Amino acid sequence: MSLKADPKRLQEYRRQMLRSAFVSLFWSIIQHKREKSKLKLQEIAHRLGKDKSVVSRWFSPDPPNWTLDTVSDIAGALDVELRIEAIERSTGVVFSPSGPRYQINIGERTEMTTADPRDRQPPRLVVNNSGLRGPPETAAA
Amino acid sequence: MTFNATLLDEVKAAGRLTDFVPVDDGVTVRLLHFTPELNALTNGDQPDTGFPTRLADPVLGRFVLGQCMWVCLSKEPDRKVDVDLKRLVDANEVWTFRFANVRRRINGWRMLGRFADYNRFVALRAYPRNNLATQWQWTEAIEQTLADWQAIFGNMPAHAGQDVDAYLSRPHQDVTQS
Repeated sequence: MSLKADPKRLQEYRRQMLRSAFVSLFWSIIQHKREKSKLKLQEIAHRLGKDKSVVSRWFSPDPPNWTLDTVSDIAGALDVELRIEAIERSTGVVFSPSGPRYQINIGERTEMTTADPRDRQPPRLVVNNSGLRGPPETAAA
Repeated sequence: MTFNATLLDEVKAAGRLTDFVPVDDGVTVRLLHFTPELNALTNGDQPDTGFPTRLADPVLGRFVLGQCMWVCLSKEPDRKVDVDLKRLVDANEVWTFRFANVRRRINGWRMLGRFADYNRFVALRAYPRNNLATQWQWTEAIEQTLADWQAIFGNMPAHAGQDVDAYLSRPHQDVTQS
């Protein structure tokens, strides 16, 4: 059996990759914004109330173990909304903070919904930037 | 002559190269091909060698999953940082993956190879960094890597480019000295 299956090794790898995923995500946004709007690391540091050297050190190959507050602050400084999802490895079911999401077919379209299609309950209301909205048929009524 | 996908398929079918599989699942963005020896080494199947899987796993994982890589095209980086990938100077497109930790003073290992194409790296040899202490040892390692490449791909040249974007997809940090 390969040592790749070692649970401790897998745990350490997953921790490292989750940390670096945040670093990589934010760096890709910074790289994009730098080209589009000439955003500088100094400006991001200013928005975060941190020294530029601290922010510079964050984006290193040895990824920091950020607190969720720091993740939220960086997302705010970069003006991005973070979306959180989890995928159950054994089934592929996607979970969001508002519950599992299911794939439904509407005519030729495929959409994701938080309502289990096996339930005969109306779709839940969703909140977005433009306020509280119901499903199309109730919104029209 | 440019990258030859058919030749690579033949080499893989003959068992001379294999696709690297990270420790955990994920969507592959960049490709990494290993010799069977390197595959066994990075799998952790040769613990007596002292190969630092703890350092190598996340670097290799970040590469294939398309995450940020720290890349250097000059002899030294522009800041004190653990570079992930370095193009060796005057080495005919031989690169090295670095599994090290500067802050903890761990010299680690180096894995040498060449880009076969954009986002496609072929790793051919690995050495403990302490065995690459002299210029002579580096030169010998580079020559062995080039000989391995020749034995596998014949005259197919390595992929070459002017800047980091020519070799691998973003995100990456270019820490090349200007």
